[in-house]
Amino acid sequence: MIARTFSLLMPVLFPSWRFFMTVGPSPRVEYREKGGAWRESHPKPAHLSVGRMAARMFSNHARNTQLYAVALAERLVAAPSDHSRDELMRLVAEAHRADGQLQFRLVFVMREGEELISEVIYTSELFAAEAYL
Amino acid sequence: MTLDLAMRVTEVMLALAMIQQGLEHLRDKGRTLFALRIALCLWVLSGVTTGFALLGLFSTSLVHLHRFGGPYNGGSDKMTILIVTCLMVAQIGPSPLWAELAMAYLAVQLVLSYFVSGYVKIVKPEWRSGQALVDVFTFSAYPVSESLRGWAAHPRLLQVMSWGVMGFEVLFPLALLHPVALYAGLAIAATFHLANAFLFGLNRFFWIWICAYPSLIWFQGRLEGFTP
Repeated sequence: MIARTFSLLMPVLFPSWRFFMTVGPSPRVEYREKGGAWRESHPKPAHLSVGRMAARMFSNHARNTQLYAVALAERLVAAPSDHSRDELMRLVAEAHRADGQLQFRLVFVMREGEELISEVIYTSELFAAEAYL
Repeated sequence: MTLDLAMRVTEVMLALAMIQQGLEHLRDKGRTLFALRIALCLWVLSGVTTGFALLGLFSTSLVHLHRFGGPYNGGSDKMTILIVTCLMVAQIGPSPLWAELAMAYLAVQLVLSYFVSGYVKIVKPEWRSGQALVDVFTFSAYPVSESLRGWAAHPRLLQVMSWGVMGFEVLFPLALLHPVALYAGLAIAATFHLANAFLFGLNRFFWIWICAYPSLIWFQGRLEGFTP
């Protein structure tokens, strides 16, 4: 517990500040109900007016949840953990509130030369949505 | 700006920024933690024995890190906890020297947050050519709406924007040379965060980064005091 606390706290007290050093493969979280088609779990809006952008300065829960899902997806691929997997299951369950079983996968979009390619890097097992609500 | 004033302004701004963060979570399952943080922020705003309130905020920050397996909102959480920690040390440290050291540390970290961020970009060919920013708009998760991806069709504009951001970030430490330069630098920095908030939805970065500005204004004056 103490070692874990230190490992979490040290990068905060001695931050690297290496924002956007590179633009690497970018994750999308997709979900489906058992046997259904894959859909993006936390899609962004087609368009946002400047007024809506300004309003989001004060209340931006949906967008910050999207960003948290992206962080979890990157963590799950870089260093797989039950925490990241369970949190993604929770976010998917809360967003879609299905009665039955759900599943998520992580699709990474990346540049390969002039082309953009997508690759499924991780697929979860089926899980009961209600267990995370 | 005096040290006491810098600390108090930072406390008030921090409390307001953390209340904004907390309010976003009040419908979540784990709302108790955020409700407690809001209560502690109100205590900080009261100005009464704020050292204990900051100790409480530091403790909830540790719970927060465990709860989310690290920062919930990336760099903005890091800066939040860094400010909480520096203010806590400044308030409950055994001598006034601790307050100076803690606030100076915060000021230095603020400068580094811009300089390091600019340096790691400017040494990369893809940032210098503007390709990195093209990729940010083309396929990264950051644009707040799909329509913003259209900006990727303007590579020359994005190259100019890349150089504008990198140039500002690596030159930011020079703002310490004169108070007017510092105010100008902070105004540009705040505008940069505001643009990031609008384009990428990084609202928390704007509110929390400006909380650290009073420490740098005090620090710059403190450095001038050493000048013969």
